[in-house]
Amino acid sequence: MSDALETHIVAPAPPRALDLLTRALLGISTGLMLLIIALIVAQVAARNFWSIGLPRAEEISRFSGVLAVYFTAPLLALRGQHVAVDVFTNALPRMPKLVCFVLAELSLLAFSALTLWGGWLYLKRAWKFKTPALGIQNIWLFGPVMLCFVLLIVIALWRIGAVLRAERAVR
Amino acid sequence: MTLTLLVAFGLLLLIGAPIAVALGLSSAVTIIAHGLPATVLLQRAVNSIDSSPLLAVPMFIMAAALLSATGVTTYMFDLVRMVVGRVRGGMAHVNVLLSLVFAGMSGAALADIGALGGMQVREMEKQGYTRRFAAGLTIASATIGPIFPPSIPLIIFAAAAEVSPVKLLLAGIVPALILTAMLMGYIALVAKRQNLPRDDVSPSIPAFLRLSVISFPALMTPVLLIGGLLSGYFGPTEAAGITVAYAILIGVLIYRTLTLKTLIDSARDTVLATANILFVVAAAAIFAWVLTMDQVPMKASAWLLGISDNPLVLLLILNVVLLVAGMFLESIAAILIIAPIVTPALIQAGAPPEQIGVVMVLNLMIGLLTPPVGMSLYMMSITVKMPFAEVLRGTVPFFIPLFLALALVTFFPGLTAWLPTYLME
Repeated sequence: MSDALETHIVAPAPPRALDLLTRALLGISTGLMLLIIALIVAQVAARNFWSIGLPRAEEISRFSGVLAVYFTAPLLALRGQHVAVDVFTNALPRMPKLVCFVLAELSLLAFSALTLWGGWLYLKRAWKFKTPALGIQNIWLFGPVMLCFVLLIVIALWRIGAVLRAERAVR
Repeated sequence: MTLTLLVAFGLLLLIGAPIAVALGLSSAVTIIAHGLPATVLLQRAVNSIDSSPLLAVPMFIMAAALLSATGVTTYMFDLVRMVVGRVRGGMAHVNVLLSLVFAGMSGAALADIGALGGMQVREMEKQGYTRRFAAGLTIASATIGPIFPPSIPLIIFAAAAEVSPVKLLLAGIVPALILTAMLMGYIALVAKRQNLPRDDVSPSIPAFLRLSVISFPALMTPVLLIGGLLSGYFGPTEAAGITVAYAILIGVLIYRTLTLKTLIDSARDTVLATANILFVVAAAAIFAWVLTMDQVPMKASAWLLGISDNPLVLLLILNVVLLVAGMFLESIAAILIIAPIVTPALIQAGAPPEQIGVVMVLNLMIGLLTPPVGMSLYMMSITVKMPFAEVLRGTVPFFIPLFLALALVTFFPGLTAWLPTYLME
């Protein structure tokens, strides 16, 4: 077997706090998913049986969908499960593969940081704007999403540190 | 601007960055380098997935997960086996037909391979098929799933190209049947030459009736879905939600295999799969915004219409572009990037949006079978613990029926446009 195939870069088990936090967020997302199903069925029933629309239910299900995605993204990042094309990096020897791993994590960090910065600029003037059906302020939807991007930064930093520490220990 | 974007995206993909990150960071870098407003980053990342039509994605994933969890796929397998198993190459035909049946519940090729792949390959091997043939056929037949409704890629195409999701879902039915016929025709052709075995199943009317009765509620899932869409009782997202509710209902009341734990496990698996897909969708929305800012869709339209205004010529160009793109891009990302660029020109040239959608999705599903980014090949390689190259070798012969189906759908717009027009007008 080639050197490349023997040496996949895998981050060690995460610290308890990060693990618990991401699992809790996954639990919330699972609850949101079940809520979406209930709300969609309620909308169909309300319209077809009682001829009433439920615009608030529609908005809640959409927002739940958004939050479920961003609440789950950190767990996927922590486990390295976001869809990626690893066919090129897997063909590399260990050291260049390690460099690519670090660069990929740095790219997650940079994307999250830039999105946070853009979000900050956006919310400075738009945080108070209200949603059409529920009338809640933008910050209640965008705020939790921004916190998930903060968590993505923490996860990227931890994964880089953990892998480099593990590498040093091996050497 | 587009050059910066594409170079950054390519480099990030090469280093193994997640596809969503490659799309998002290349867009962010371009936005900053060219003085565009950075506010768009979070705005697009949230607003693009704050969409009712896209909620159909998790719903269809969950419906498939729940129906799989009820164990009904085993009964359906036995039922299909009883119907076509006795002919030469019977188990290979069973493989294709089971994928068609499962396609009525699942909307993704990878879900099909994940749910059925292991069982299909194992059963075929037991009967003397080579593992290579079984694996190749299984991933080829899994391309039926994303064409037959419910189809996750078609829903995403509808959202990206701003066309009717109902018409698109209906447009997938005939091409999926053609694909099934092509694969079965190919098996029939090679059955004698390769001396493919006959199934050892002993069909009996009581057993057939018993399996039909057991499978009936699950087989009604696509009927409920299509019937609901056509009757106007619900839209695509609502249809997806109702399908989930139906799956829960039959899982609890009829199959009695669905527990609270299975429900929660299915919801959790759905969230994980959905987050992976929709995170890519969110980042691709930023990417598409940058392309729009650089007027790429307009330039591409002008360029394409400058070559020809014949829809067939443009569709053939699209086929080539997509087959190459499918080798390097993940399918959802490819739809979100390419659909808004090419769809306006093709529609202007007179190609029906339903045909464009089905051609695009079928191409990209074939792309799942081509290296280096052949997700279906990886999935099968993992599922049956078989070397990637061996899976690829097994798949190569099945490109013939897949390309034939693609050619038919490309050359005859009526195959996609007829059914939605007939049913809806």
